[in-house]
Amino acid sequence: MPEAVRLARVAENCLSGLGKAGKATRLVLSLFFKAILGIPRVFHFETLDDVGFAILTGGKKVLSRNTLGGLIRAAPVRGVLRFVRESEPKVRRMARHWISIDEHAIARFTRKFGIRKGFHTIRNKHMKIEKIFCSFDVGTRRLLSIIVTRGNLRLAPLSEKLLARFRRRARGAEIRVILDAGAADNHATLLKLANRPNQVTIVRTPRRPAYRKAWKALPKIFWIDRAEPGPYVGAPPKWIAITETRTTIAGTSVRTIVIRERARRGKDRWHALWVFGDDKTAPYQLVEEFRARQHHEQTYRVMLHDAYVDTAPSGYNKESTNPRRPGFRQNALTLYAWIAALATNALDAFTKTVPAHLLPRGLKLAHAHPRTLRRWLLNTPAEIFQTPETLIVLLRPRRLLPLWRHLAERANANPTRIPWMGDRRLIISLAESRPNAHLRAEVTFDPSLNP
Amino acid sequence: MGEPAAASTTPRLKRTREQRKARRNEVLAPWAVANRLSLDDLDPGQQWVVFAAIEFVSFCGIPALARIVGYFLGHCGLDLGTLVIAAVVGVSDRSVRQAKALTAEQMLHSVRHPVGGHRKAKLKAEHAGLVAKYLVEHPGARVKNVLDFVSTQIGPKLDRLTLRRYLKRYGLGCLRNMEIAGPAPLLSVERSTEELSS
Repeated sequence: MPEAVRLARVAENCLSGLGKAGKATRLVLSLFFKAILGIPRVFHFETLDDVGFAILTGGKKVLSRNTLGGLIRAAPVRGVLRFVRESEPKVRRMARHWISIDEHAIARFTRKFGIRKGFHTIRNKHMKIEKIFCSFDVGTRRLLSIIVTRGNLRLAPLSEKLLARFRRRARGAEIRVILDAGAADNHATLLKLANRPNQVTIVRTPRRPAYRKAWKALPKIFWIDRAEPGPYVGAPPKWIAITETRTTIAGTSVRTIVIRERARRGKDRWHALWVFGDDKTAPYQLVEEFRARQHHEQTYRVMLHDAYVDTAPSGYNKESTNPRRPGFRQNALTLYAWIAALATNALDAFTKTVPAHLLPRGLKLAHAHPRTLRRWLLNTPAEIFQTPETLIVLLRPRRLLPLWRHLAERANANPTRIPWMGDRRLIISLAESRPNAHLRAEVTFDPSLNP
Repeated sequence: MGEPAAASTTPRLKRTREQRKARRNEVLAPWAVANRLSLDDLDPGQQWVVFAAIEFVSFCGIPALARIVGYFLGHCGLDLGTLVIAAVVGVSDRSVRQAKALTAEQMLHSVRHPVGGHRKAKLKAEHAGLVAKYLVEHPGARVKNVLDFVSTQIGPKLDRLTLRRYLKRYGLGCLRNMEIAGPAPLLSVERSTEELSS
């Protein structure tokens, strides 16, 4: 809830161009809690009549789909970009940051509009898409910033933009950038991106036959075998061989870490990394650093399947008079995707604060999927009582009672004030009576039975 | 700089009886004025014990030891009143009464494991929902009914004043008559969808 309050404040500052006060709050809160609670599409708002959801989104009724859709598209581009800047998570002061940058493609199924095409990696085809580029803090597993573009733009130039934003916030700290092979399609752009002071860049090398032949020709004595844990507990170890060589790209010799994964059957798999700006770190350590990028991919998966980022409104103008060149507006897509990212961040941050000792054996909620959180915690029946000073939520949890008691106590120790409800304090209450209360006389407190 | 250190390490010379008496009067007279007590109410024996306690409390300066001194004064058999003990220890007479009621084991435990801050409320914020629900479902409930409900269903036994403060803190009084004074966004149209879409 504090995150929602913070977003509402930022929204009122940045999106005042929407008109009457309160519209920006309602827009941002509707999108935020839509992502938190897993409402797939904006048009599902037509059938939502839950009072609790209405309160969360800042009104007495849930916004209709037409109103919400209209507000998303009406948000001014500059205001949205300012909203993104001001709501970016704070970066901790550290000597070294590990930042992953990657793209996510959103398929656009349109025959009418001639929008740009790009490669959709999940569908494995060249098609009409729009792209989201996010920077991701590998240490804290948070999405840091966003840029949305047409489908034909590539990772390396957009990484440059996102890194320029991050450098200002890193305050001179060393940045270790982790990039997928998409950044290596143009060597000149990649070198321009990588050759920065105080920056180490690790890029997955594209698998090309010429590279593979060169790696295969390396003498056997250069390879170091290593056993890694198998894919599941009790599985036989996975054997890899690792070595280091140099590759010349665009006239520059680049340190290359090559991994040959022994196949149980069929051909071996080859993986390689180009490392810029670091000739000292051990090869296997660099491989492990690169592997942390998987958290970024996982966050994209969560955004796709739990926050429904692929249902974002399109960036091209559907009212365009020239469907062959409909143009591209960043506002709706940026706002929708960024709020989904913030919701994902908020849920992940929440899972890290759940004390493990209050959970039953076998249940772990640290970095849990939003769907797991919804199933265990968020989908809990409740009653709401409004007083002039407080908003009391009386929850009726059926499971995880010790955890609920802890959460309620923590929330009530410093109650959140809800600005869109006249600064009322949010009090979380649990509908659990004292043990053995039913053994006592229940009728004594019922005034209707008074003589 | 060396002189005061030498003076502090030098053993104090034994005072005569008159000197000790003068010192006692010198300490007790301003103490009695400051705490609005009359020394005439204390017999000489009580005065000596109070003097010794004041000297010890000012010497040690540790709250836990001061509490033990208060506990000792309460049970030393000199019938010192709680006002006097409270003035010696520097706490309220109410806390002296509460400490006096403890057993020796409880006192030792409370010294070893002090509870920071004020005493925790018996009826917590987490119970506000249950009380609110009861008030909504029983609009004609009297204070006695609410107190019975709290003690039966939630646990703590409250007096009327505590319940009143609790209801006031969470603004629950309005629920009794289902009326909300002042602006209530949920009951007004100022943020409704219809208005935003217009």
